[in-house]
Amino acid sequence: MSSQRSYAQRRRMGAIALLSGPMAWWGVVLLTPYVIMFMISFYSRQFPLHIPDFQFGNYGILFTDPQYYIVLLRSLKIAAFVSILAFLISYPLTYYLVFKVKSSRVRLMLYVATIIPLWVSYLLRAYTWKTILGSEGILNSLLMWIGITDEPVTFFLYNQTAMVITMAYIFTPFMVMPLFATLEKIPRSLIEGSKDLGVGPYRTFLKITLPLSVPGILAGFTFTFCLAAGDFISPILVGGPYSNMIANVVATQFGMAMNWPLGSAIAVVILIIVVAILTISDRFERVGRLNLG
Amino acid sequence: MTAISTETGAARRVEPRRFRFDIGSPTTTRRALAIAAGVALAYLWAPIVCLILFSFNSNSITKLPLTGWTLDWYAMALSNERLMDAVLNSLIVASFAVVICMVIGIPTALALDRYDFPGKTAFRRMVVLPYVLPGLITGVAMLSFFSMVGVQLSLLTVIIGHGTALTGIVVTNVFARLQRFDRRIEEASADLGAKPFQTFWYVTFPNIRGAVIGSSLIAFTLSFDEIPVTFFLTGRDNTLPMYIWSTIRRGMTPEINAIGSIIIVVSVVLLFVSVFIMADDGPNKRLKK
Amino acid sequence: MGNIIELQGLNKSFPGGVKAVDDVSLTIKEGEFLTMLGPSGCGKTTTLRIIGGFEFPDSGRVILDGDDITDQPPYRRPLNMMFQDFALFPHMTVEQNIGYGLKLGGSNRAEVSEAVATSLKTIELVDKANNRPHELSIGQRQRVALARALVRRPKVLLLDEPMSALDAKLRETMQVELKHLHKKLGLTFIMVTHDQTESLVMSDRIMVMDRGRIVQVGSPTELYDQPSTPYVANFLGTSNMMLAKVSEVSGDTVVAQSGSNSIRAKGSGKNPSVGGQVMLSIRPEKIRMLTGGAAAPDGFNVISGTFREHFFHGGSAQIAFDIGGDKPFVVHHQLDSAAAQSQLPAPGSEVQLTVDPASVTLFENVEACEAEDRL
Repeated sequence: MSSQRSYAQRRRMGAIALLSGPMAWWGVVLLTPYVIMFMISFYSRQFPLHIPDFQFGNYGILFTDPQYYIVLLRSLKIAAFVSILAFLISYPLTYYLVFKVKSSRVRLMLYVATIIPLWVSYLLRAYTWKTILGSEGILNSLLMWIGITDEPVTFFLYNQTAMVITMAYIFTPFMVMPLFATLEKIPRSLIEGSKDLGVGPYRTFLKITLPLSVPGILAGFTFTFCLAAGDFISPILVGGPYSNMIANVVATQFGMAMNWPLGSAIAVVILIIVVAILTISDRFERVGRLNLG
Repeated sequence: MTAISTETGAARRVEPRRFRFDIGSPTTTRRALAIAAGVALAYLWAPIVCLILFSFNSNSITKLPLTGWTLDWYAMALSNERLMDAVLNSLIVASFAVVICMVIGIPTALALDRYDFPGKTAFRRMVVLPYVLPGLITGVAMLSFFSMVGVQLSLLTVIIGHGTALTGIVVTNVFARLQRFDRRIEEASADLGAKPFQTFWYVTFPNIRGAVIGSSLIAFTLSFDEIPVTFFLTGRDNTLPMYIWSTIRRGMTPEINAIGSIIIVVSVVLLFVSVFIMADDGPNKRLKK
Repeated sequence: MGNIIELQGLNKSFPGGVKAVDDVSLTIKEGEFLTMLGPSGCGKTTTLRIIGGFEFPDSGRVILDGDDITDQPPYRRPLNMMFQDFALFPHMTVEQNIGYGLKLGGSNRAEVSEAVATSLKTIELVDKANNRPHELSIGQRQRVALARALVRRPKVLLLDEPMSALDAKLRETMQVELKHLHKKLGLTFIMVTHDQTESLVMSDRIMVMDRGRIVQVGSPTELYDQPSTPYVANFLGTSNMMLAKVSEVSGDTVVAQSGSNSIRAKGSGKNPSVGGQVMLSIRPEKIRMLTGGAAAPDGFNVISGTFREHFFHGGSAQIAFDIGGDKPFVVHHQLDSAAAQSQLPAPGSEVQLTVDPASVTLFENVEACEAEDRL
């Protein structure tokens, strides 16, 4: 009937008007570059340039040359450790904030205090860890000052452990944010109900709070893992000889090595891994959300 | 838990079954957690505090104990021309990037909130992607794009890069605010004679203003610190993080401590302000029954 | 006073296949107070929103004062709505809320402030002009919402469950106030509610809806005394419903058997066949207990009941009797004197109940399962 047509028409025109600008922008600025990057990953390299081609050689190199796939695996491993460490730091902190802090004003302030470091100069904070952990650094001079050791201890810095510590530090707020949101949503009545039925606090935590916080944990892990896997700053600042991460490899391909096709191929692989993780965790999160009803 | 004994009619108290690991009282747990929380927070803020402390240290090497107080490093930083140029560039980039974020982000959030269209899920994922994806990838992709199109790297490319990477923040925050928005006041506005744009301007926008401003401030601050995307898209003009990055590779100068402290303090202030703008719904307080 | 609104064959379905509005046609007279009544999900709110322009029908037309407004957006329709939770603009003061429509309509500042001032005086909130909605009480917010809707002098005022947010006492006061306002302004009011008492008190006409369709339209008295279906009978007020089989039809009197009871219905206007299944409806207040050996009036029905329990309602009591069916037979007993109080039966006693055949409503062609289901 004409009323429906004109109403639907009007709605559609409104939607088109609203969306056309952003769509155009996103199409040019986001979609196109990713597509181009994807295309270049198939090009052949002819030093110092690259020529249009369609070959899987670059992907082949990534998966067969140990120089590259070891780095890829290392990055995933380190990302996993970073996520776990960040989780161990974040969970008690967030739990305390949500359940043990009574005043909502104080809670908000503490939450903000936790989140803000996230957004304050990654570079500077990562660098300060270098000064803290270094042989001339604060931790060592503190230890020497107190008298625990006589000589500077070198194992704090320039190795994978240092990277994990630094990155966990940088990414902890990414774990805290979704955890906080999820824990806040758990109805207190569930916890009180459990205690009312005779279940002690630890068991209540294990059986009620923890399972219900899984969507938040999952989201936090996802963010932290993906961002840590693609980080290239920490390896350079605090990493050692065996700390090269996949992101550094990509950066080099676009820098000195002048091998854009290979760099693009690696970037595409990282992209696929990240999107895969996002999709999987999205599905789990949806299930988790159902449980919270 | 109480159980009523039907024989005597009196109530008997039954203790909750104690789990093996129920050590201590709730207060102990609470204290333990508080300590864990305190340690975590200290861990988060320690480097920042250290940085600020050492920016005043008269000894140029960062080593305990502190030797003396001085403002020399600040003076040096402020008189360093290249450093100040970098700061100016960062300001320019951040300002324009934020404008892009708002101009693109608000309509995107509105469209996602109100309309259903084919490919909506894919679109939503794509918009949020640069936010979660390592900046590296966005940087690399855009570099390839610019070189293929023949655009030279400059502050402009950096601005576009930041705009792309940071708009997701504005979109997610404004979208979240829109979702909590009571659609009925817009209907009331239309009922009273307001045309769609009038309704948006007089009713919708004032109520999402907090989210817009707050997330823009966050985007501004992040732009100031952005490294991965900037790394690949910088031309001749350096932004502050790029300047610091190149200096740091050679070794930490105390000037960096000084300028870093300034940046950090400003960022922290801006972020506090923005979070409170967004959290405080202002005239939008839940109508109390 | 002609017809101001005409609804012609409105249909609306929502995604998921729910048919919210099913072939709704109605004419609304100018100046009347019409209520759309029914349980949640019956389509009354959707119909109201279609009139207001917030939903568009899949088919059918809405005619206002001769103009077809079906396609018009809300801001082009000369009617105004008072929303269920008032929908006051939280970021504007009371004054700005009320003046909003006028300001956007192009009136100059002087006109707007004059109209708003008058309005504030009428709703007695002059001192709250600069307050925000969250600082007002519920009753005050409602008045502001009403003022905001009326200040533009719409032809029709739509009200979406206006009292649902109020507590019982306030609700009673507002019902009376709204009725007075309606009389004073002479506008057409269309109200949606699920509260049947409200609709009886306030309306000139009531439209009862069920699952998207109109079941019956009429004045409160018509609907109460002559419900067209058991659904209406039970929605407005309460009623004792009994399935019965027709044993005798003579003139306008029908005799039907329900269990061991033989009941006469007179003047129902229906002509069922002997042996057919009917539903009888008797309102509690139409039943009297025969006490002290008194005899029933001539021609009246007499039913024997065993006392089960009673519920005290302050000025009256609802007394439940067992007359042989599986549902209690409820009698409304007015406690208007000490004597009335003493007439409450003793537990387990047998009482004779009497009711005028003219007060027995008869429904034909009732499917047994449907009847049980809807009651």
